[in-house]
Amino acid sequence: MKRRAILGTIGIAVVPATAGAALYGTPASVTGPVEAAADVMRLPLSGAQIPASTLDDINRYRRLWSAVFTDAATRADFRRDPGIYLRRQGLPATVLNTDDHEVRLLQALADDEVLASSMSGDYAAFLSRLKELGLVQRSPPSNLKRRVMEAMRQNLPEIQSSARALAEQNDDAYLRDLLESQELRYLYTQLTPSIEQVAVAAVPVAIAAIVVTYISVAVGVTVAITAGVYISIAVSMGVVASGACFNTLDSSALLASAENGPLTAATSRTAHRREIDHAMATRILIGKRLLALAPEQLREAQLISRTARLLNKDAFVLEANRQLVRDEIGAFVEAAEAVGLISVPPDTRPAVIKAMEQLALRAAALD
Amino acid sequence: MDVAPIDADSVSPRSVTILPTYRCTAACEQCCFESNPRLRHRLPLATILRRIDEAVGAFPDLQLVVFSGGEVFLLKDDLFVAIAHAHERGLSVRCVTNGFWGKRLAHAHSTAQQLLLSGCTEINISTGRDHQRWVAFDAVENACEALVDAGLSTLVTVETDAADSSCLQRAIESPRLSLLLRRHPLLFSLQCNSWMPFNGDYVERGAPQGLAALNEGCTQLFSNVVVNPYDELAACCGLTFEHIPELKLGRLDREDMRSLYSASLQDFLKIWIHIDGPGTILRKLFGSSMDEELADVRHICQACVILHRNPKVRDALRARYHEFVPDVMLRWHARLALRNLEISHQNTRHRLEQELT
Repeated sequence: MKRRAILGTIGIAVVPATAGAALYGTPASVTGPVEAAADVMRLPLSGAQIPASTLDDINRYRRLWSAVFTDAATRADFRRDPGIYLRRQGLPATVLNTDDHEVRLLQALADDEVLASSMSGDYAAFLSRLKELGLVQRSPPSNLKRRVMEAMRQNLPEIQSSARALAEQNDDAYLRDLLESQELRYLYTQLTPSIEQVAVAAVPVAIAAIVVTYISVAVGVTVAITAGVYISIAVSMGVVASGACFNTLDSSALLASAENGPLTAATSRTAHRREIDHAMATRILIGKRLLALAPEQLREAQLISRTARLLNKDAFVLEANRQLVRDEIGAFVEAAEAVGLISVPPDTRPAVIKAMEQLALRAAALD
Repeated sequence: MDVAPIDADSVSPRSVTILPTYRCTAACEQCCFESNPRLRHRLPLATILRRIDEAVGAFPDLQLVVFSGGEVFLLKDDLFVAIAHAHERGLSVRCVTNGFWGKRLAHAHSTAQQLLLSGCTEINISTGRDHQRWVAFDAVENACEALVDAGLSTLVTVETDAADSSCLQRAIESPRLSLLLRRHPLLFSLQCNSWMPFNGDYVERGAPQGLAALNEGCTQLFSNVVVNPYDELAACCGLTFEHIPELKLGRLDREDMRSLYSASLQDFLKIWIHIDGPGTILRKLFGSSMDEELADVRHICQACVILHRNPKVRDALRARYHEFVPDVMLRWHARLALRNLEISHQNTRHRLEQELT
């Protein structure tokens, strides 16, 4: 057994020792309940171990933060200099570790410029101020682009064969649905020549395949990266075929009831509820992809969203989500071009990307 | 002087995990609960229903009930009754299973329909090297098809493979699962989880991440509570919680759920683990050399069992915890303040919405 300089070898082993030997003893799942033993360790927030002054301080922490939110003068004091503010409250400034995420968030919420941009609905100013306060860094989208391109390069044959298989499918009802979308019709005119020659016989399907390439490729990438291995990436029709592109929900309805509304037996299976679930699932998928491809970008978006939620500013939450979608589309289109999967006509490029963005935003009820 | 107790209304778990039995159709080599077919104890249905009601009454933020085990489908019809009971109370319901009931496709479909009708929201199926010694992969494939066909959200979690297995690769290359992934990306997904050793027969599953990678607090504590087959309430559903007596909050046949949960908010160790995590705590107590000493740690729950059970760590915690109280409690209260602000906004929005409609 490995010798542990500090913890020693007595007690809990980390790596297997004798074959079959339990490393942490027999669990209570097997032995059944054990009456609370005398040595069950609790670290009480009371008693002789904690000095009375510390207990007093802890009780004041409870009141301190709510005062920052509810009282303008307190907020101004805190904003000017959190350390001085704490000392004035009789608390040691050393307890305030400004590197701590929650503390920095509290500082941002007390900031005049953050509040002003929130009141005026100026998302750019809001974001810029969060950056100045060091709350977000705005990771460059180039990281995302690079990782998407690597994944596509490594899986190109599988992507191409999946696209071919989809192009050969023939599902009339499905094609009719696709053609109802204005954006898809536009993309058809712009991208058809690049979908290899197999696409010509079943252009709408192939176009849809391209449109959802960014979505489905990323689904595969998520699996691959989470799994720690690379897998064949399949172009999925699921997102389009299931109607997500034609989601009729608007974002305000989604915000009003998706996360917060009580799920009742009466509403859980309604069509509206299904649309909400679908849009939420699409957003979750976007999050999962980003977690695999650009976790730092996702973390920042979550932080921006949380700050906006704390300011009761739904519009900013939506904007943070929209920006993620736009960044993702940009990354996937560039990568698909770079590996030769598609070619976008240079003169209509902005419109093509815009159409793709619209489809993706609608799928997530963010348009 | 004591610290004023935190009102249980200001902190509330969002989920309750009910483990009705540790009995299982499988007896996986590294099962965290050492589940197997010989374990017979289970919670009676009436107790399960009572605990659901108690959780709904005790915790205002409760959204989700997770039924896990053991193998929860061994409860047969009692499972569907319990799911419906939770669903009728406005909760989402997730079940965790090894998918043994998918052995025959027809039975898989009828089970999926029962789940749907009961109001189940999501199924997680565990499989991989250890599981597949007991439950064939075909059964998992059948179960997945039936569940997705019924419109149920399905997640397959595959153990990290060892050098002598390729279960994950098989799952990824499975034509049936690939089809589900392509056709129903919003309903079906596949993921790989980390695996940690529980006994000396452990076969290596890739390089350990080491203590150095464990920098985050534990998100389970305070956001989830667990009812085990012995009707005990536990503070988390981590892999090692049945090895750590400190994570048991008490017996539900003697005290109510809300009191037990509130009492846990007076234990600094739980708050510290929630805020900093066991990795950071070990480093704060013993210095960064811990990272090297515990470079073979594979999971946050493994660091947690070391934190609670190693005698030297226990001595250090008892002797020195007061040094860390001010910093940790300041951040804990900052977190609570932010959380309460978010909840207050949500409630206002709800009220306005209700007034408008």
